[in-house]
Amino acid sequence: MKKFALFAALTVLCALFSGCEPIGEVQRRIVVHAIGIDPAEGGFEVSYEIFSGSEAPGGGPVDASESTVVTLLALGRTLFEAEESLRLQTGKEIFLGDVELIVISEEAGTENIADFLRYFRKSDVYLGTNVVFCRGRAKEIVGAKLKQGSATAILLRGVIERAIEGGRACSSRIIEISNALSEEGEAAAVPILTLERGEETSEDSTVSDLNVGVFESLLIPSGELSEISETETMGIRLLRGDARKMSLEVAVGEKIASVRLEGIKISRRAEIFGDSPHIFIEIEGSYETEFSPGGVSEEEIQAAAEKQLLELCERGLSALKESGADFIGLGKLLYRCAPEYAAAQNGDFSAAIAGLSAEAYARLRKY
Amino acid sequence: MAYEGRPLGISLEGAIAAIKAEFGGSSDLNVVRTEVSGVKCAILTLEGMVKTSDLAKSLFEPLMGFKAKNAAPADVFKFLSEYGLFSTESAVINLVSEAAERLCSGFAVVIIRGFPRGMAFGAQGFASRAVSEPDSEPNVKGTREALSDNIRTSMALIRRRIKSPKLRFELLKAGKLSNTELCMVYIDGKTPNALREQTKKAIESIKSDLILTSGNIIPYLGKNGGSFFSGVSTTERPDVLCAKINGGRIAVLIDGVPFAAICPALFIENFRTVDDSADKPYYAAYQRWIRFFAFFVSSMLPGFYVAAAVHHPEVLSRSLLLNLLASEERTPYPLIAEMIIVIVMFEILREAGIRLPRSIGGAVSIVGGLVIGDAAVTSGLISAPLLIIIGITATSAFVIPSLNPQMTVLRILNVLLGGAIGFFGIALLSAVTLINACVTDSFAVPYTAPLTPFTPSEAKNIFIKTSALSRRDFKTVEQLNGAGGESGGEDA
Amino acid sequence: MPKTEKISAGQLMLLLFLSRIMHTMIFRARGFSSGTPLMLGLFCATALEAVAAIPAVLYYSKFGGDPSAELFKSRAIWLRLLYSAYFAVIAGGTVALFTRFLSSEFSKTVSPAIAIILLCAAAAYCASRGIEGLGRAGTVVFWLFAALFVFMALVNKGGFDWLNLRPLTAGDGEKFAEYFFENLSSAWWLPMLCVLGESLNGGAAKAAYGYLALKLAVIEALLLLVTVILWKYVNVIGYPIFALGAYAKSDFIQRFDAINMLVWAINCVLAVGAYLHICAKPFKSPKIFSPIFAAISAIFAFAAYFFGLEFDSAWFLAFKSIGVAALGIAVPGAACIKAYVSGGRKK
Repeated sequence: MKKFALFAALTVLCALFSGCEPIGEVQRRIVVHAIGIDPAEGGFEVSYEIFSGSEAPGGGPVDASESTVVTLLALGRTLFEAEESLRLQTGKEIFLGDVELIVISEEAGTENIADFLRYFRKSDVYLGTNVVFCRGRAKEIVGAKLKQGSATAILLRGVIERAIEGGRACSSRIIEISNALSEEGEAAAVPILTLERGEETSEDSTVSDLNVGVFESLLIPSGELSEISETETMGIRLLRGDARKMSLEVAVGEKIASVRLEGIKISRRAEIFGDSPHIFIEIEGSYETEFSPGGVSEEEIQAAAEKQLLELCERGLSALKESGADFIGLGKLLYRCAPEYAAAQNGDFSAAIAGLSAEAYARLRKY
Repeated sequence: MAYEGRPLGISLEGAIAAIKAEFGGSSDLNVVRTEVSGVKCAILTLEGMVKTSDLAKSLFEPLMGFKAKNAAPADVFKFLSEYGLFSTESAVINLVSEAAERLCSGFAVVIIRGFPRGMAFGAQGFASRAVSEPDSEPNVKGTREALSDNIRTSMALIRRRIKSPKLRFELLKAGKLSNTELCMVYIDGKTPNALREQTKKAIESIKSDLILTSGNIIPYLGKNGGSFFSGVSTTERPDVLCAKINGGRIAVLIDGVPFAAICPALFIENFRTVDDSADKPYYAAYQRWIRFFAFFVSSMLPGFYVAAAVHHPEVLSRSLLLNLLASEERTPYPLIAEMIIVIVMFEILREAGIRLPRSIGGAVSIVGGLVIGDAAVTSGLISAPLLIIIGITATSAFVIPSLNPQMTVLRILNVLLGGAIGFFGIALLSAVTLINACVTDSFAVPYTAPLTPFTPSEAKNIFIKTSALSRRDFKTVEQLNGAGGESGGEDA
Repeated sequence: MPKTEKISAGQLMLLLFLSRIMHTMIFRARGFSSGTPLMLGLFCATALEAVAAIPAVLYYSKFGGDPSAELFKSRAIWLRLLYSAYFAVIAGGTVALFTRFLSSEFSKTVSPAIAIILLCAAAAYCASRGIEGLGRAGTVVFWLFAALFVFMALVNKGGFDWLNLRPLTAGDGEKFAEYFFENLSSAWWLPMLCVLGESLNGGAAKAAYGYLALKLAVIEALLLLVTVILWKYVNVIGYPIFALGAYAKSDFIQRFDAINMLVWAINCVLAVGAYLHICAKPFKSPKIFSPIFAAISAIFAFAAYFFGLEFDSAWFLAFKSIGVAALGIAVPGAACIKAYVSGGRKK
C-alpha cells in the first residue's frame, strides 16, 4: 500500500510538473529558419525568418514554404537584446535549433564577427550551420520572396552548399570559422551572398526577378579585410588541401571546354628555404569532360585543366600574401613539417606568409 | 471438519450420514443403495464429476454379476479390491474424509454394510470443452491444439508430443477449499533437481482458498518482491510447453485452467514464437528483431515524442517539427494532455474489445477508428501526427501480448516523465526499469539471461537465429551463465 | 541453484569503465590547445595505474576476502566507514557535476534541485537492489553507450583535420602534467576494486587490466576524435564529448545533444548507484542505508549548486588523490603484506 501511495504521488507530481513550464505547450515556440544581421544605429537590426504555423494550410504535409514563413525584425544593441526583443514582440520562446543559415551584412560583420560567433555558440544553433556575408542588407536576403519553391533559408543553404561543393567558396560553418579565428595568425574565408534584382517583372509573372549567388568571398583575418574572387577562393582551397570536387571552364586555345574534377587528393609538404617556408602541393584526381568544343582532343583538355589548376594555386598564393593572414593552415603544417621553425614564430605566421613560396604539381586522369 | 479422521465404520447408514454431513447436505451428492450377493452396499458419486455410462459399464454391471453363496461383507470387499477390474485408478477408503476427498476428485465410492473399509474407483467424466485452438497464442505453422481445462487431457496432449519415459508428471494438490489438482511437468535429466524441489515447496506453500487461474499460483512460484517483470510465464500451447521443459524448465498444469505456468521465465522468451522454428533462420531472425523494435516502440515512442516535441525539438527533423507545430496550433490542449487522453482512449477501446461478445466486438473498432479517431482530428481536439504515433504504438503492442501489462505501464510513465522533464525523465525511468529487470530472477535464473549475464552461444541464437542443424550446443536454463550466481568465466 | 550475490570479472570491468567514462562525460575543458599532450598524459597515467593496481589484484588473486578485515579484524568497521565516506563524496561530486552539465546545456528542461533529488533517488533504488543487478545493468548500458558512440561517429558531419594532431613540443609539458595528475586523481576505480573485489567471482586481474585496456582504448579514441574534429572549439563549448555528439546530424534524428544526455543520465544513475552500493556495503541492510547515503550525496550536490562547492577544484583533486593512494593502494598493499607474514589464508 505504501509503495502504491508513493507511486501514485510521483505520478501526480509528474503530471503537475508538466503543466508548470509554459514551454510545455509546443505552440508557444517560434521556429527560426534564418537570421540576418544588419547594422543599425547603436546596435543591430536582426531579421528572423520564422515558421508561422497558423498560416499553414489545414490537412496534408506542411513545410517551410513561401506561404508558411514570415520575416520579423528586431533591434538590439547586441544579438541577445535583439532576441529578447523578438521574444517580447511575439510572446513566445525562440527556438534557434532549426536555423539553416546566418547572413551577416558586410558592414555589421567585419568588426563584430567574433562577438556574433560567441553568441551563436551559446544558443541552440547547430555548430555546423553556415555563416555567410552579404552585399547590401541582410534582411533583404532573409526576407526575399524567391519563386524557386521553398523558403529562402533552405534555398540559400542549398546555393551555398553547391558553391562549396564546387570549390567556389570555402566551407564556413560556425565551428570552422571559430576555430580559424581562435588560432593566432589564422583567418577564415567567408562566402559573400549577392542578391541582384533583374529586370522588373509584373506581380503575377512566373519569372523571378531575383538572382542570388556566391561570387566572392571575404577574408577575415585578425588584421585587415580583403575580398577575393571566385577563382582566388578556388586557389586558396587548393592550397588548403580541402578541395574534393571542382568544376572548371578551361581555355584550350581559343575555345572553352567544361571539365568536372572528382576525387581530388591534395598532399602538402613544407620545407624551410633560408628564412622562409616553401610548400609543395601535389594535386591528383580524375576528370570528366562535360563539354568539349569541336576539334579539341582529350589530351589537350587534360593539359589545359592541369595548367589551370596550377594557375589557380598561383592566384590563391598571391591573394594569400596580399591579405597577410594564414587561411591555409600554414601554421599547423609547419608545426608538423618544421616544428622548430613553427615554434620560433610564437604563433604569429604573418612573416611566414609574406615570404611563402609554393610549388604545385597537378596530375589528372580520365574519369 | 468434524468428521476429519473419523473411520468409515461398519454401519452403512452411519457412513452415508457422515459423508453427507461432511458435504453439509450438498445436493450434488448421489447415493445409490443396492445389494451385491445379498450384502447391502451404497455407491456414492458427485453429480457431474463421473461419467455415468462408464460407471454403469465398468462398475455396476460387474457388481451385479457377482454371485456368491452366503456372501459376507468381506467377500464383497475382496471382490472389489482384488478380483474386479473396475478402473485404472482405485483406492481403499478407511476414513470419512478420504471418501469425501476421492468423491471430489471424480471417484465413485463403494461402501459395504458390516465392513469398515470402502473402495473408491476413478470414473472421472467432467463435462469439459473439446480441445480447442490456442486463441491467445495464435500461430501460422504450429499446432492448432490448446491445453484443456481438464488436466488429464492436457497431460495427454503433452505426452503425445514427448513419447519418452523421461517425461514426468507429478500430481499435487493446492487450495484450501478447492483442493485443486496441480501437475508438475518436467523432463528427467534436463530439469535440475533443485528446481523441482523448490517448485514443489512453492506449491505446498500456497495458502489460497481457491485456485481458479494461473494467477493464483504464480506469486508463489516466482517470489520477487517489487519486480516489474514476471519470472513465471504462462502458455496455452502444448508445443510451447514441451519446448520449454526441454530447455530445463518446469511447467505446472492446473485442473480447470487451460493455461500452464512455466518457470523460470526469461525476458527474451517473450520475443520467441513457435513459427521461428518453422521459418528460415534469416527470416526468423528478422522477425525477432522486429519484435524487439516493437517492444521499444510500444513502451517508449509516445514518451519520446512528447519529450522531443516539448523539451528537445532539435531532435526532430524539420518537416516533422513543422507539421507538429502546424497541427498543434489548432488543438486546445497541451501535447502531454492530448497524449494521455488518446492513450486512455485506446486502453478503453482495447478493454471494450476484449470484454464485449465477439459478435459485436467489431463495433468497437468502428466506433474507435472511425468515429473517435477521425472526429477527434477533424474537430481539432487531437492533432493528426499524435494519432499516427498512437496508431504505431498500439499496433506494436499487439506484437508481444505477453509483455502488454509492462508496456502499458511503461508507456504512460514515459509520457508523464518525458512530458515533465524531457529525456532526463525517460533516462531515469529506463535506468530504474533496467535495474529492476536485471535483479529479477526465478529460481536463481536471471530474468535477463542470456543477454546479461551473457551466454554467447544462446545470445547468438537470439539475434542471429541459427539453423537447427548447426545448433549443437543447446543450453538448458541451468547452464546459462549467471544461473545460481555469476561465473568468473566468459560472461560479462 | 542458490543465489550468490556475486558478479563476474567482465561485469566488474564494465562497471568500473562506466564510472570512469561518466567522469569523462562531465569533464569541462579548460584551455584546450592540442590533444597530443592529453593523449600522452592519459597513456602514462594508465601505465602507472596498472602498477598501482598490483596490490589489490594480488590480494584478491592470492588471498581474497575483505582487506579491511584482514588488517583490523573486528575493528575493520572504521576503515570500511572511511570507504563509505569517500564514495559518498565521490557520488555527491558526480551528481553535482552532472547537474551542472544539465543546467548549462538543458536549463529549460529540468531545474538543478529536482535533477539532484531524482538522480539520487534513482541511484539509491539501484544501489539497494544489490551488486548483481548493477553488474548486469552495466553490461546493457555499456552496449548502449557503444551503439550510440558508433552511430554518432557514422553520422558525424565534422571533417577530420589530421594537422590538428600536433607533435609534442617543450611547451606541452605543463598541459601533459596537468592531465596526467588529473587522470591519476580520477583513479578511484582502485578503491572500488578493493571493495567490490569481495563480490567478485574470481578474475580480479582480468577485471582490473581489462578495465585499463578498455579505458585507454576508448578515451584515447575520444580524445583523438575531439582533437581532429573539434580542435579549439572545445574551449567554447565546454563539454568536449558532448560537442562531438552535437556535431552529429542525421535525417531521422536531427541532433544528438539530447540523445547523448539520455544515455549519460542512465550511466550517471548506474555509476552513482555503484558508489552508493559501496557506501552501504558495511551495513547489514542496503535497503535502509542506500537511501541514507543517497541523501548525504544529495547534500554534497546541493552544496555545490547553492554554496559554490567546486568538485573540479584543487581541493577535490587532492581529496580524490589521497583516497586513491590510501584506500586503493595502501590498504590492499598492507593487507597483502599482513596476509603473507601471517602465513596467508589461501583461497
